[in-house]
Amino acid sequence: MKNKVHSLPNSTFKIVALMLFVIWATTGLPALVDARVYLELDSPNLRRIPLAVAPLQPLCGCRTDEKTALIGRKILIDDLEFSTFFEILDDPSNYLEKPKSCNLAQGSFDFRNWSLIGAELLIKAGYSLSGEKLVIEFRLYDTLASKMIVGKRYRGRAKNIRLLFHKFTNQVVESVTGLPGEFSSKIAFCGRLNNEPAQELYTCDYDGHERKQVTRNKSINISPAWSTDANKLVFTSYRRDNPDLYLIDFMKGKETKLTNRKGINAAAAWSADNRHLTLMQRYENHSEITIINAASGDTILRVTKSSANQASPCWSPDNREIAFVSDRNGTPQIYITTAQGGRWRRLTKQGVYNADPDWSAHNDKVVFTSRIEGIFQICTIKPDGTNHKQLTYARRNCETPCWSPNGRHIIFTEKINGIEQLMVMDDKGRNLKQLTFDKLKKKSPNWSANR
Amino acid sequence: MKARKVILALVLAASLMFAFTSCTCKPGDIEEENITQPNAMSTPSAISSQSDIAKPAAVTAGVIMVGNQVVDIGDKIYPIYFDFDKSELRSDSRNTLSELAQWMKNNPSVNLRVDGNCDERGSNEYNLALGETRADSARKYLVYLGVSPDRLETMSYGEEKPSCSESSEDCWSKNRRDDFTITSK
Repeated sequence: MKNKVHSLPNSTFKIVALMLFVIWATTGLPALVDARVYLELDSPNLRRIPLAVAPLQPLCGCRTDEKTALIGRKILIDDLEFSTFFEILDDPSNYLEKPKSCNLAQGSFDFRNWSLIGAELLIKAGYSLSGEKLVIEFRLYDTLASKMIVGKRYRGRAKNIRLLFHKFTNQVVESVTGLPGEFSSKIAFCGRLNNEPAQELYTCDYDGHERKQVTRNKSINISPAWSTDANKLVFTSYRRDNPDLYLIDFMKGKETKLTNRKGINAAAAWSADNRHLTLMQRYENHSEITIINAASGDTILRVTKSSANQASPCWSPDNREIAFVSDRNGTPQIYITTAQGGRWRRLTKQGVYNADPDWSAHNDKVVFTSRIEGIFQICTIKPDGTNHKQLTYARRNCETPCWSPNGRHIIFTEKINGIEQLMVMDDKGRNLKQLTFDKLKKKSPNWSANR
Repeated sequence: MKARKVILALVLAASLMFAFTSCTCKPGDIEEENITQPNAMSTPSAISSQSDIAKPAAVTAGVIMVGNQVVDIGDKIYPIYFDFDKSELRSDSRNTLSELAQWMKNNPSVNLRVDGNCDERGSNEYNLALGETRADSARKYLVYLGVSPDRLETMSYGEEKPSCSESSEDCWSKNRRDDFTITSK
């Protein structure tokens, strides 16, 4: 990334403490310096930690820019609210501290002003904006222990303000839970305006902001999938009279055709090492699951051999298995096979129509759609067939669920007032949020890792 | 004078309405005014513009035989339709395909592509697979009826190319279809 990251120690002791902290945070080892566990993620009743976000101040010697201060604080609050780990004390009129100081450092303020209003965590941030250059300093404090948990300085361009703030909120969540936030991830999706024949690809941030149109070929483009490093996107396009598989490399700014085998080349999913893709391709005039080389498009293996239809393959976290849809027993159901093909087992046994599986790389669950009383709902199941749970109870069809990079959230589409919109909820089906509200009909959202 | 102008305007307006809104006129009036003697080219076109899906006769109206000549009136062959989540041919579709097979035998240079389509319900990706099977059902039946496999291609659009966009059974039934495209003639 272009945005540089600097830690903020102001004494040798703090440098050492921060280095130890960074090692702890990046390796996931138990904290040696600080034994406090903020959140027990496996606890059934996760407590939200009360957190205050001090109004943003210009850094010492820098001029005030109300817009940056307001936008920045809103991004901090929205991100942390979305994470579901915090109870945000967001109304500054309840704050006891009336800050005028440009100093964010420990010692420049009284922790009791924050612990007295119930805030156990405090974020202080300052900015410097000159022309296109934006610098943000952040500090996350534990007000009860009276110490800084993490401090960061980010430099970047003013137009990337959202990304700068998302990068810090990732750090905040990582400090508290051990796994980073998902705030610098992207969503790719298909969009169709009115009833135009063309369906183009778009990307946006995890929160729906920063939407960009990716394809402009005026054809039908479907099933986008991010590589696990979020640098590449594969998708299927009908632009040359056959649904061929294409690859966009965002680092090279290049688009290439991967495979144009006659018939469908669709619903591709990346292996963990980004070397292989599993997808649907035509064999003997029906759709089978295959594995191809992600660089050359060459076929490596035909995974399924059936006279029925196969669709929507996705890898298990260890890439040893593939879940997919098949109607080999009459109705679409989800099956699991080894990635070498051969042995298979049926995963879904309830309902007559189960489809669109996505296997989380982080929690051992498969999310999918199930037709329940005539309406498609989002469900999850363990790969051994236990723990079948219905997450949505919508009145309109919910489709194409996809896990967030950490498996903490699920994005999907729901038809609202005749338009398919992007919806997001947590892995238990709670904290449902509508991400988009415009006229574009959206399909097949795919969630990238953090950039 | 003024009154006569008004009457004249009304008469003019009435005759204009008569000319442009024939459907609101009495049946007797239509017979007199609107039916003109069609030429050989426009007759089938007039018939084919009724996209009544229950009429298998509309199948090959896009290309007609005039004497011994194939006359192209827009490369349009009418679709066949399927039941929800099914790829088996309905009896009306079999009739339609029989006519299509006969027409292909009469027009041996014509090649076709069959495009399978689905309604919006259900998984987009599973529908891509279902579209492949729907297209293949028609292809297989045409081959069974004697059309050379070399003359037929198939493709699936899944639910990506709806001919109708409302969420109603009437509309969905129009989207569960095979389209036929002439690829060479």
